[in-house]
Amino acid sequence: MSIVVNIDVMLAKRKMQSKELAERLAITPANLSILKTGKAKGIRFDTLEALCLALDCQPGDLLAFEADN
Amino acid sequence: MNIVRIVSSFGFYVFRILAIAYLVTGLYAGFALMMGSPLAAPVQSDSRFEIYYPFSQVPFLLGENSTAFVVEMLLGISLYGVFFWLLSNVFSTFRQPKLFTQQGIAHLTWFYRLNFLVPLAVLLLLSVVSSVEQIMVMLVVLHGLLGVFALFMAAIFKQGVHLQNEQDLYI
Repeated sequence: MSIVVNIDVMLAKRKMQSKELAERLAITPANLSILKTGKAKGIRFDTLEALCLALDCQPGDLLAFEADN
Repeated sequence: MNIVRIVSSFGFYVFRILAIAYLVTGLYAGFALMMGSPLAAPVQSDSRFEIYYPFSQVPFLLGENSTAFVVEMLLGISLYGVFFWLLSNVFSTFRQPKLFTQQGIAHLTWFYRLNFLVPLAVLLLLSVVSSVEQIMVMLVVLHGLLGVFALFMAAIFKQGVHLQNEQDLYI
């Protein structure tokens, strides 16, 4: 996938656990896992906003573009 | 959506009770005809029969004492029992909090299969063992139309499940 989700990196930087982040975002751990593993088809703006707030970062810190080849 | 739940709950209970009543009647009639007295007895010099309510001599079902009629009667009662059972399943689909499910598709699929195939098969069978009346042909057509609607609904449900699965991947 061209868009890489860097939630794991930010979680490590903030020393936060996935479970805590899921609670803060009010989403299920299963949905957070879908998001982290890049299986999600899209991310809603309000989820992105909540992620930025919880991890104290910018959208660019969470998402990156990588060419396929 | 609330009115849909109320109507579907009502339909579910009515048709489930009707299905059980028909299936039990079909089984009881078959058993009574096999056992004969005291559950069933011939009347009018063996040309007709009576099936009594259990543990009584009160007539419950009356019929012509011929194989064709008995087959027709037992098939009719039992298959309408199955029809009402599957119809109650369709109603139960609309009672669920999540409308588009694989189980809903399965219920609709069974319902349209029954409506397409069974009436036709019964009509063919009856054309061999007995005579086919115009009302039977009309019933086959009506069940076929019901089957078409169920087929379309199943297609909508399949699309709904697909869209729902896609939607679940937007977080």
